[in-house]
Amino acid sequence: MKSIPNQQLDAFVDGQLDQNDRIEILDAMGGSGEIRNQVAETRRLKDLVRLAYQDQRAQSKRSSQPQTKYTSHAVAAVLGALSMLFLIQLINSPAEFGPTLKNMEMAGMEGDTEFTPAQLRMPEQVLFHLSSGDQQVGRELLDQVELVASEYEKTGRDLRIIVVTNNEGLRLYQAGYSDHADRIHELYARYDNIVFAACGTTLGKRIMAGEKVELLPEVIVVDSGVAEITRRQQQGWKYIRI
Amino acid sequence: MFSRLVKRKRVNQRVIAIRDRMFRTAFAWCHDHMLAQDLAQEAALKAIENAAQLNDLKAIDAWIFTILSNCHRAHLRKVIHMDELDPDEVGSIEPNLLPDQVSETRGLIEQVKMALEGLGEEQRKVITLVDLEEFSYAEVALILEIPIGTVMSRLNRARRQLKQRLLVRPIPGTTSIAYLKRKS
Repeated sequence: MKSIPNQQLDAFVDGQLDQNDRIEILDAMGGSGEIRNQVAETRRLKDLVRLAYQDQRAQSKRSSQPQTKYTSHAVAAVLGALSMLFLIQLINSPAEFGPTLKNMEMAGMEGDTEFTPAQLRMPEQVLFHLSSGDQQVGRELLDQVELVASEYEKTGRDLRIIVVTNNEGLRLYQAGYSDHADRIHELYARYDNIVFAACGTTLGKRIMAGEKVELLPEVIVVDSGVAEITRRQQQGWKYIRI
Repeated sequence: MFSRLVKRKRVNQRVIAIRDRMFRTAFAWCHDHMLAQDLAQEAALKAIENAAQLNDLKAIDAWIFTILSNCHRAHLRKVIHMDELDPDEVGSIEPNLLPDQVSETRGLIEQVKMALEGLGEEQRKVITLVDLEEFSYAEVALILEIPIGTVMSRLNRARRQLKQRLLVRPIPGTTSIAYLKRKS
């Protein structure tokens, strides 16, 4: 049975390995309950560390519960006008009193801008999920990603975006197949806060089936699209299914 | 090539946009609200002042956090004689400084914070940057000005220690073991 060095497992959980190394570990996990446990424990630890400091925004109006309810409505309203409405809501959600560009200007930046914990807020966090291989749907997804990113940039608010694709959605990230390689490259260069993440499970399946899959250079591989989505939802990320 | 003015504007905007992250990280490092505010503000100003030195605009966050790390280190040097301590072994935070400590029931979050306080300073900085700020190992190496191998070994040691404290020992008054080991 293969034994994997602890630091390698750390790097796997932290997304620091390249594709080949990731697949090697996924493989090892498949064959070893102990390695799976170690990975699960490390992942759990990561979540706990994040959790420990998320209550810094305890005085924020937002809590994770209402968000989860809302996003499940959003899931039901998958495509078209309804998802656009949700996006508009997202963009126009009342900016909490925090050190945004606008607020800093109002407060008079040159003076003492003291911010207390009540004023601090976490960045907006949005996860987009694509499992369709349709190029048109892929384009709509990128349209929405770009819309949200540019709106937030205009207002100076902090935003994080992850775009997860799995199953047929992986095609969007596949070199030689995707119609949108250039667009992804541009978005990646233009915005610091967008992560394009491919599902390692889907990728693994394709490779096992003998397919040669080359991912675009801007794409990282996460162990499992579904696991990533679940984790982020538990952390309070907004979820948009395209 | 970006002009000094463009760089300065960019750094200015960025520093405002991520100031809450800077506070959060500074707090994670020192567990002191006032000090964390000071450090974040100091780092923000320093970043703007030194904007011309920023070479790679895409690595702007890592650059800003490097400044934050330096401010933190400079502060430590004032209060502790660094050569007396092994940065990997000693927990440098007094548990009593936890501002929002609930004395009766220790929730899971408090347990985690206590466990993090018990880590060596340098270990805590590494694990904060990796888990909280999600910098890559290479970025963390740059920010803390240590080799990438040291990043990985400190991270691993930190995690091992945390696992000992949080995932193995029964925590009195809670069912934390069952909770932590439950598959999510």
